[in-house]
This record gives sequence, structure tokens and C-alpha cells, in this order.
Amino acid sequence: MLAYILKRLFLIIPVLLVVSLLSFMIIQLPPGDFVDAYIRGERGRGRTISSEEEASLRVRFGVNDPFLVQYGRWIAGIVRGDLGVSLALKESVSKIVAERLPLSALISLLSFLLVNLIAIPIGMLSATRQYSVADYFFSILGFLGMGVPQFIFAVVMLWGIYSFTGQASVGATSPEFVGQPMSMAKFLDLISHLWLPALIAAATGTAGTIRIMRANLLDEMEKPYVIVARAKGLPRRKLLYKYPFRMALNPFVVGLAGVFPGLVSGELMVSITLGIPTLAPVLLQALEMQDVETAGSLVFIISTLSVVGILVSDILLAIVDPRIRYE
Amino acid sequence: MDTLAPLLQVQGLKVHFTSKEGTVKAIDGLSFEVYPEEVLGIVGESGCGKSVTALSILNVLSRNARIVDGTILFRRGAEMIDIARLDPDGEAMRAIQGKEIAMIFQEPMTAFSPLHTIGDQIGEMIELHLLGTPSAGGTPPRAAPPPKPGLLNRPAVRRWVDDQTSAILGKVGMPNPKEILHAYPHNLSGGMRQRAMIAMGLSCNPRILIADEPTTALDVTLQAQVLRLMKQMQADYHMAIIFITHDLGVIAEMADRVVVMYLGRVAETAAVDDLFHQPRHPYTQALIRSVPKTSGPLEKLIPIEGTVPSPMDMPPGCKFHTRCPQAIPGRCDVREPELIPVAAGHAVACWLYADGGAA
Ligand SMILES: Nc1ncnc2c1ncn2[C@@H]1O[C@H](COP(=O)(O)OP(=O)(O)OP(=O)(O)O)[C@@H](O)[C@H]1O
Ligand SMILES: [Mg+2]
Repeated sequence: MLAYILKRLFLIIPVLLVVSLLSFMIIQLPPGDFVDAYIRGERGRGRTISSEEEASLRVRFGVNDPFLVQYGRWIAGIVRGDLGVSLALKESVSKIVAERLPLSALISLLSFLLVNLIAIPIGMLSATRQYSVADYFFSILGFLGMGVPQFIFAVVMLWGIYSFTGQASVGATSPEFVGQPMSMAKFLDLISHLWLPALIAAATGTAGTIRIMRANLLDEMEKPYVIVARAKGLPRRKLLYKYPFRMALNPFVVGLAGVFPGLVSGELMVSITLGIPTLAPVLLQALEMQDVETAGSLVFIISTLSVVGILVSDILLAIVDPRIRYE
Repeated sequence: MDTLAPLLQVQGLKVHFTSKEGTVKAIDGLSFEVYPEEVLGIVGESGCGKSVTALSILNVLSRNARIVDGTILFRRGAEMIDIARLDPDGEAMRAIQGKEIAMIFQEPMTAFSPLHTIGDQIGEMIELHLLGTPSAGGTPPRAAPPPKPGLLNRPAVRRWVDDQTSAILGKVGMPNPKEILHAYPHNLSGGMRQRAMIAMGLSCNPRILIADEPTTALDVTLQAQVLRLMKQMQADYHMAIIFITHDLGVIAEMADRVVVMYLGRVAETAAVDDLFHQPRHPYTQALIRSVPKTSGPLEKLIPIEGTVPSPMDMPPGCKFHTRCPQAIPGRCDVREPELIPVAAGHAVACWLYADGGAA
């Protein structure tokens, strides 16, 4: 098992290299480059840029260099732990990540917790009381949650907040904490701001998870091993938790892999609508402006988290399911 | 055997399934008895309702099934309990499940949970039914009396349960029962898994053991071993066995009495010798003819003609008349025959034997 984990960890390096090369390529694929986007932006603000200025910008940002040179420069930085500089925000990507990652991660984790704390018990209720009033109620609620787009939730919530407080955005912290180092008070303030976006982000996931839990359990409850357990005379509640519930959890362990990249890239819609400075909007902007180093670095972090997430869920799966043993 | 009171009496049982396509009348007026310490063979083609019968007796039918009529009377001491009227999840039913009536399932791979050890899955049943019941001794007597249940006594309980479990695993011929306790189903071979399944069925000394095609999933040598084991266990534990199979050869080897089922009803019931020597029902006769003989001159194998009608769309009258070479038009396709006694312990549901045996 340990040897297997080490091997998997070692394999991550070539995977990341290939992924980063590919993503770097794809980011540059559309016509034009960062300078074009920059000039367009300046023109929009009514400033004209001479062709000499444009040429010097191209040299300064290195956008004229061949693709491999640009990639080499960036990956060399990555290896040294330098994520490059965001041309658009004129700040080091490391600093942006340090500022925004905690917010992204916090929202993602909160919504992950909300999804599972709400969905698993409801899914169980729906499955064990199939076709009851409660089952129908949660089924309808679930389909609504899945059908309504996230940004509609967000906009409706925002409207609600506006009509109560007169503020048009949620933000991440109260003004007095901006720029302050992390403290207990600031953390609590963060949570008090972030539960709403987390709740909105959780809505869709909760609806889906209820359906999955319900379907998994209904499926498991008719399996021969459950009939055997009933034929033993086990108390039904104990039986439910010990056998079908345990089995129905397996897909969730697999799904855990998806939580990791979501720590960085998740909740884009909510962040933009509610004006929360998470990483997802930065990534979107970097992609729009072909800010290759910023986009490349963020994609690199996301890929790393994805690969690690898969490894973690594989290990957990091997722990909860004795049929799976890695050599 | 007839002098004894039956241990189990199934009377006029009807079990229906509701499915998207319609109602399946899987069991449609089934009656038979099980006497103490006998092996009752139930035989019939695939889909005739053998497994549904077994699941009904244990009250573990699936959600879309309903016992619409009939009784399943189980005798405990002086009282007769109607299992068909008990809440499937209630305490009274759970006290019977596993303890009084246990079952060996057809497919031991899917019948065990893949996530729990064999020791856990057998042990939980022993702990549930035998802990705190000092009279649990039975035959054969248990080596040590059970410890007091309770949280503080947990380690002692665990040890006792493990001892009981490995004892029963040893009894069914597991080579190293102490290790098997910690094995998962996928660690065992098919034959070993079925032995573990049998051990589980026996673990609480049931008075009735239902074996639903316990050897179908095994190869021929293993089949013979498992059959021998079951006979041995029946001799040791003095229980009644309901042995379900579609293999007449196995019936001949195992059963004392036989129930031949066709589409959810009894076609014929008799002591095993009578059934093979004097089969009365055309269906039984056809079944016996369709079995290749292993000894004597090679006869032509005669398959039963026609196909089994869909249980969703049953023919009127005797359900076998569509395939019966001796069907009497105007009679067999109109009314369904009841069981008619033709000899001591021998009854047949066929119009040919009505009015004192017109045939
Ligand atoms: N869960 C279910 N839902 C609907 N119909 C069912 C269900 N279980 C069994 N049936 C139907 O009940 C009838 C009897 O099935 P059963 O499993 O008892 O047959 P069997 O005699 O055990 O056959 P086999 O020899 O193949 O095991 C069949 O027609 C089957 O389709
Ligand atoms: Mg069957």
C-alpha cells in the first residue's frame, strides 16, 4: 500500500508536466495575445497607444517570444515555486493566490459540508420512505434545486439582501477587517459573510446528492445480501446503517476527488454575482485576456489538486472497501 | 411422519408482485406442510415460484410483493403463529428469522456483504439470537454458556461470539476456522463461501432450514460435497430442511417427501419413492422423463413440450393444460383442479384423478 502511494505520488510529476504544456498551448490558441487585449482595454478607456509603445510592451511582456521559450520561462519559475506575475492585476500570482485561496477554499468546504449534511439524511429518508409525502416533497424540492441555475439563486438572494440592507454585494469581510491579518474575529466575520454564497453553491449539489443517495440506497436495499441480513432477524435500523447505507456511501468517496480542484476553481457564478474576491473570477479574467502565466499557474494548481484528489479518494476507497487492494 | 403435527403449514398462499407491466401472480394458491426433522424437496421449473415461496416463509419479500391471501402457520410449542400476518420488520417476525427458520441462499457471492468479514456476518446472528438465552444449548450442546450482554462485557462477548462462530465454521468443514473469521467473502472460493453460508444457516440451531438451490452455483464435485455436508448436518442438528431445486437427481438423493410446483401451485406431492415410481401428474411424468438416466440403457431425452406461460397472463383452468398431452377439453381448460388424494401421503392436482381416478 505504501509503495503504491509512493508510486502514485511519483507519477504525478509527468502528468502535471503534460497537463501544463497542453493547457499553456490551449490558452495561447485563440488569435492575439495579452498586449492586444491590453491595448483594447486602454482604447476602451480613451487612451491611444502608439506603435512604438506597443512594440516595447511586447518586448516587456515577452509575448513575441516563441511558445516554447515562454513555456520554459514559466515552468522554470513554477519549479522554483514562483507562480509568475499577473499582467492584468500587476501583482505576483503567488500574492493573489495567498489572498484569495482561503476564501475559495472556505466557500467550497462550507458548501461541501452543507451538501452532505443536508443531502445524506434526506436521501436516506426518501429511500426508506419511498413514495411517502416526505419523499415527494423532497423530490420536488430536489428537482427545483437541480433545475434552477445557480446565478438565479444568487441574484434572488442579492435582491433580498439589497432590500434589507441596501448593499448590493456580499463581499468577503466587513470593511474593518480588510487588509487585517487573520484572527479569530476576522475568521468569524468571514464565516458570517460566506455562509450565504456557500448555501447558494450548495443548492445544486444538495439536490443532486439527494437523488444519488436515494437511488443508491433503493438499489442496495433490494440486493441479496440485504435480504440475507433481513432473514437473520437484525433490527432494521441497525441493518440499514451496517449494510446498504455503508455500501451507498462508496460513490461519495469517489466523488470526494472532485472537491479538491473545486477548492480553487469552484463557485465562479456565485463569486461573480455576489462580488466575492475568490480565485475563480481571476482565472476567468486571465483566460479572457490571454494572461498566460496567471492562467497557466492557476490551471497548474487546479490540476495538482485534481491529481491529489483522485489519489486521496483512491486511498480512502481502499480503506472502506476491502475488495480494493493496491499492490 | 404423518403421525407428527406439522411444523409449518402453508395454506392457500397467494403472493402477487406489482410491476410496471402488470401484476405477477407468482404464488397462486399454494398449500403444503413441513414435518419436524424431515427433508421436504420442492422441485419445479425456473420461474414457478420456488424462491418466492422461500422468501414468503421468512417474510423477507421485496417491496413490490404482497401476500394477498392464505396463511403460513409456524408451530412454536403449543402456539401456531401465522407468519403471513406478522409485520415483516416487527419484533415477533425477527425473533423467528434466523433463529427458528434460517435460509441458505442460492448465490453465496452476492448473499454475503462484500464489505464485512465472514466472522462479522455470522457472528452478528449468533450474538443477536443466542446471547442472553442460556437455554440456547440445543443439540449439539454449546461448549460454553454465553456471557452476560452489555457494554462493559464487550470483550468477553466478542470472544464468545468468535468462539461460537469458528466452532460452527469448523463443523461445516472449514479447514482453519479461526482465520476464516477475518476473511472477506471475496477471499474464499465458491465452495468455501457456500460452506460459510451453510454455517450461517445452522449457527442458531434453526428448526427449519430453507436451502434455495444451495448447489446450483457450484461444480459437480463440490455439489456432491455440499449435499453430503447438508445430510450430515441434518442428522446432527435434527432440523427440518426445505430443499429447493430444479434438479430431480438431487431431490432423489436428499428428500423424504417432495412437492412438485407448477406456476405457483402444487401439482403433486408424495413421498420420494412414490413420486419416482408412481408419478401421477402428467407434469411430474414429463419432468421425470426429461431427466437423462445415468444408469441403464440410454433413453431418448424427452423435453417437456411448449413453454411456460407468462405468470402475468395465466391460462384459465389447470395451468398445465396448454402443455399437457392428456388434457381434457372442456374440463382442464375451464376449472382449476384442487389437490386430490390418490394414496397415503400422495396427492395430485389433476382432473384425470377426479371422481375416484377416472383415468
Ligand atoms: N421482485 C420481483 N418482481 C416481480 N416479479 C418477481 C419478483 N421476484 C420474482 N418474480 C416473479 O415471480 C415468479 C417466480 O419467481 P421465483 O424466483 O420464485 O422462481 P424460481 O422457481 O425460484 O425460479 P429459479 O429456478 O429460476 O430460481 C417469476 O415469474 C418471477 O418473474
Ligand atoms: Mg429461485
